[in-house]
Formats: sequence, C-alpha cells, structure tokens
Amino acid sequence: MDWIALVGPEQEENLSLRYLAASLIEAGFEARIVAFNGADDFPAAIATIAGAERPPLLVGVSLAFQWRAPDFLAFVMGLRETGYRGHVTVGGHFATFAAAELLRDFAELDSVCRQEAEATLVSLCRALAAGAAWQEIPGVVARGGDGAARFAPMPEVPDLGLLPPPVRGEPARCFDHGIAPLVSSRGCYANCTFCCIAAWHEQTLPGKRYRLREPADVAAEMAAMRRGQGIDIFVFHDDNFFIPNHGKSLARLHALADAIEAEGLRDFATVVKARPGDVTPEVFRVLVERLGCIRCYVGIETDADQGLVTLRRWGRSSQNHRAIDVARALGLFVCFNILMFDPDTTLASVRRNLEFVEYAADFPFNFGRVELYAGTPLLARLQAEGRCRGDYLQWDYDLGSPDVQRFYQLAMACFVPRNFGEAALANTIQGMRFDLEIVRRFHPDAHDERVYAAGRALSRRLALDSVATLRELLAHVEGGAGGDGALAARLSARARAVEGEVRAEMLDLAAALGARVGRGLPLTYLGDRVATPLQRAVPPELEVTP
Amino acid sequence: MSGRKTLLPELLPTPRSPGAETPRARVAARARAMLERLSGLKTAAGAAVLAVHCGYGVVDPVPPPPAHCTANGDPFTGITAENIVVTVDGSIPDATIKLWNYGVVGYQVGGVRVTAGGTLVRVDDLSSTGSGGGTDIVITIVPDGSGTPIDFEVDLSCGGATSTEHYRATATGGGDYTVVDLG
Repeated sequence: MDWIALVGPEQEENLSLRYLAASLIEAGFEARIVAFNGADDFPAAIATIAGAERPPLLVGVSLAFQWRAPDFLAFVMGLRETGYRGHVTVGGHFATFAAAELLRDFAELDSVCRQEAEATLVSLCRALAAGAAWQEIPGVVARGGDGAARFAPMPEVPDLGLLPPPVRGEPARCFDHGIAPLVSSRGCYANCTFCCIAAWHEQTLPGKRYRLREPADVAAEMAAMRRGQGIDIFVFHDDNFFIPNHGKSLARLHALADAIEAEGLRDFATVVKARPGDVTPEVFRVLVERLGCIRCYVGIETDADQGLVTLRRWGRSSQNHRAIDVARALGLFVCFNILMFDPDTTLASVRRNLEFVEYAADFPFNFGRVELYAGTPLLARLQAEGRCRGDYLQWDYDLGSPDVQRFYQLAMACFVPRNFGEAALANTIQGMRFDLEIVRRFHPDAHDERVYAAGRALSRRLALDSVATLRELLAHVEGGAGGDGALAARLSARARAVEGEVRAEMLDLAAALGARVGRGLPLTYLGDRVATPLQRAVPPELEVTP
Repeated sequence: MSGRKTLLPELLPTPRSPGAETPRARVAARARAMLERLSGLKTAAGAAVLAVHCGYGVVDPVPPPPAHCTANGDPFTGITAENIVVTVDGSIPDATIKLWNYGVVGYQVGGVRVTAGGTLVRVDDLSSTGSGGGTDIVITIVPDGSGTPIDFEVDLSCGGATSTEHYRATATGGGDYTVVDLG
C-alpha cells in the first residue's frame, strides 16, 4: 500500500491534516502525520520520511500560516537535500494565495493544492499511483511547459456531512483531562480586510462560503472522541461558531445541546471563539449552562472607531463592551487580542484601545500589529498605495504617521518578550486562567475562591502593567523629547521584572492547583515546556537605539 | 510528540521586517541551518539519512559529521569564554560570547539559558574540522538594560560526557564584557 506523509504543525491536533488523512485512508492509502512544530522537530520529521523503509508516494506540507511558511519551505528543501525524489505538494491558505510565486521560486515543489483539498489530494495520489496525468485535477496548480503556474479549476467545496471524521491521536491533557479540537462548520460570513480566512472563502463563490454541520453529527463525533481518546474538553475551532442571527444561533446551540444529551455525553466542557456581536446574554447563557463553555476567545481586535472601519469589523465599540459585560455577568473566562497598530492607526486610536483594555483588564489580552497576509484586501490596498516593503513571504509597512511609527517601535522594543511566542507571558497566563477554569468545572472539591481570585488578579496585574507602560511611551512620544533608547531600556527592564514576578506567582499557583487536584499537569506547565528561549528574543529590526 | 501537545492561545505573529535577500535565499539559509543541526546530532536516524544520500544541490553541501570529541578525562576544562564584539556608538551592546577550544572539536550544545540580566538571541556553532579547526560557539545575548551582570548556563556534551557550564558576563564600560567561568 502506498503511503502519504502529511507534514504540519501539531502543537494541537492539526485538524486540516487529520481531515486529509481520513480522506486518504478512506481511499485506500496509508497516511502518516509528521509533526513539524519547529527546527527541533527537523531530525525526527526528516527521519520519518527519508529514513522510511520505502519513500512515501507523496509528501503534503501545510502552508496555512504565512509567518511559518519559510520554516516549512526550508523543511522541503532539507527533505530534497536528503534525497527524496517523490511528489511534494503544499496546501492551505497561504499556499492557495501564493501558488504562482511558490512554484516560481521553489523547484522543490511539484504542485499546490488550493482550497479545501480532501478531494484534490485523493485524486492527486490516485493519479500518481497510476502514473496518470494529474495537472488538470480540480484544485491543482502545476508548472506549465514554460515553467509558469497553470491553475486547474477550483475544486467544489466538500459536503461536510460526507467527509470522514478526522483521524485522532494522543490528545493534549490538562490535569489529565483530554483536550481535542473539532469543527461544527467551515467558512466565514464576515469580510475583515486583514483576514486571509475570509478572503479564502470568498474564492469559493458563488458556492457557499459558510457551511454548517448537522448538530447530531457533531454530537456523535464528540461522543466518539470521548470513547476513543477520553476527551473531556472540546475545542471548537470554527471561524464562526455562531450564526449571524441571534435567534438562529440560540436554536442551533439548543439543538447541539439536545444532540449531546441524546448521545449520553456528560461532564464535558467546551472552548469556542466568537465575534463581539455574537455575545448576547441569551445566547451565552445557553453556551455556558448547556454546552459547558469554559473559555471563549472574543475577537475584539480593536475598539477604536478608526480601527473598526480600517479592519472592516462590521461591529461597534458598544458591542465590544457588551461582550465583556456579558462574560463578567456569566462568570465566563474570555480573552482577546487587540490589533493596536494598523495602517491608519492614530495616537487617539491607541488611547481608545488602552481605555478598553483597562475596562476589560480582568480578562487576559495581548496586542500586536496588523500583519499583511496574502490574498487580503488590506494587502491589496497597501500595495496600491505603494506602502509595502518586502516580498510575499514577509510584507512590512510603516504606520500612518511618524509619531505612530515611533510609538510602535518603542512598544515593540519593550513588549516582544511579553507578547510573542508560545512562551510569552501574555500567552502562558491564559494557560493559568484555563487551569483555574478546569479546576472549577471538573474538581469542585479542589476549587478555592481565594486561589481563583488570586489567579484573576495576576492576569489583571499583567494587563494593567501593559497599559501603564504603553501610556508612558505614548506620553513620551507626544511630548516630543528624545532619548528613545534609554526609555525603552528602562521600561523593558521594568517590564521584565514584572513578568518575572508574575511568572513566579503563576507557577506557584499552578503548583498549588496541581497539589489540590492530585492528577496530571496544569496547562501552565505545558505552555512553558513547549517554548524555547529564542521565542523571547527581540528581532534586531525591532530594537530601538538612542 | 503527544507530550508536547497543548491548547494554543490565539497567537499573534511577531512583527518582522523582510530580509534583503530573496525569498529563496532566506529559506535556503534556514534549510542549511537545520541540516547542519541534523548533521551535528549524530543520531542513528540522522547519520543514516545523511550517509545514504549525497547532496541534492539545493542547499549548500551538508558539512561532514563532527569528529570524535576529545578523550581528556575532563573534556570541559579546556574551554575558554570571552566577549568578542565591542560596540562604541553609545548604544547598549549585545553580549557576544565566544566559547572556544582550538584543536578540539566535537562538543555538542544541548541548550543555552540566560538566567539573569538579559535575553538569549541566538547560538551559532561555528566549529570547524580539519587543519586549524576547533570549537567555536558564539552566543548572543541582549542585556536587559539594568546594568546587572548577565548569568547564563550552557549544556555541553562531549562524547558520552555531559556538563552544564555556568558563566557570568559583566559590562566593564566602553561596550565590553568580562566573562567569568563560574564552573
């Protein structure tokens, strides 16, 4: 039997690869997931393929994330260096949008599979196994005789009810409770300017860009995950878990809860994502009480009127505030990101966003810059305005005014170690908050309101420290004085000191929770363990000199 | 691998500027670094892979596997640590620490941790074999600006021997650092 290697990140179970693997297995191929989370995984990943008894018929590489594409392309180069001569294809959001450039620059690649590729990949493997032509398979991009990319027609989007469920492996665990992702839908109905997911689904028009699975199918998959892998915590990775109509959303949540009850599934928890406009008291009460939601990422992104327009969020500041109010009233742990810097950001926008973070400081948050992703309206706009630097692997741009650009560079000089990478405290502290929720949900005997309050206070302290530091930087820029390097050095040192204290308390708290629960490890430890020191390093271009 | 699975937060990408090189050149540099790392692992899998296949010609030729490490009773005593870069433009300089032992090759760096005073930026193993070769490991650390000494530790192995070496780099003014081996 021919085997297929599917290479991609696996910090969590990689649903896209695992759906592809399921379709390949159903078609009679052997499929192996090859985890490649970073350079540390290179030897094992290479050995799995190049050291195999017989080479795979095809190596499929996930290029979903533009910012990780160089790593995966380097992997392919390394794989060729070790002598692999079989077919290499890439797929995912970034590969779909950058297919022509990738095939032009990387002779190591044979093809690109565009869009949702279950059918495309199966057809490609069948053709390769039979020695047949594959270049015209819907979804495939290949090189023509002149070396330029030739695009076969787009594939039809799959019927979610007919796809085999994703193959499963060993799950992540928190206090020994299995955690695994799933989706109840594919697609996105929104049209944010910075988001390649919306742009990706736009490509499939006039087909449906947002498709739902039947609640009974979702519940059956959850029950199977409980039976097979002991999953207690179901992480819904839907781009839109909620329908853009509160009545219909409410009905769908009830239908899913009814179906789960019918499956006999008890004592579980869910994790979801929401747009701010989704968060209403009625819908979220059902989400918490019937679907056991313990964590919700709310896509705030910006609270500035300017930012809401630039990013085309289809939302208002009042909805952001309502989302926080509803979460607070329900005692639901939510977290959010703020895209503090976009191409039109003003210092007034920054002030508005800082006010919002302060308002919501009892919930973990992170902030960063809007990056320019392939296929997005924002990239097209900045290219038209002549504001982009770089190339398709990494675009860069200056912010809208010298003052905002200066503020951004100062902010990055101080905050890169706190904000970016899995080890960054702004990310790991979310793991600590998750631990608290797991204990509250599954181990009421070990739950202690004082410990819970201490954990919340810790994340509040970090959030308010970020706000205070950013306000100092803002005042400095508005004051017009020099000495940026000295200020960045002083505030960085202070920020690292605060992080050291918060991290130490966080680890103490995690240890205390672990002792009270008496089984497994907290997620806080996992967040620390998967990280590397390099993830805390400030890129040279973001350092500030006096 | 399952032991490393976790629940990922919604990560924001680190803002970065593109390099001056072409996409292909940047990717090739990454590939080269990973292949060099593979060649240095001396794992059965790595050795087998690299022994069977000769260069595809995509990336620079894979360097030969490292020579056997020294057979000295305590192989770690001969390593010297010193700062090698001094900046004089008034900016806060990185600490660029070279660990060297000329004539002896085969040390493997298992990990580098900065425990106080700074943040690790990168570790480059520039060791070379052949005539004039030797151990040459360069560690770059950004100081935290507090002026306190930078403490860091390096996990080293040499053949079957392993050791964690502790060092302290203290700024001495003028952009230089004095590096002390703490054992």
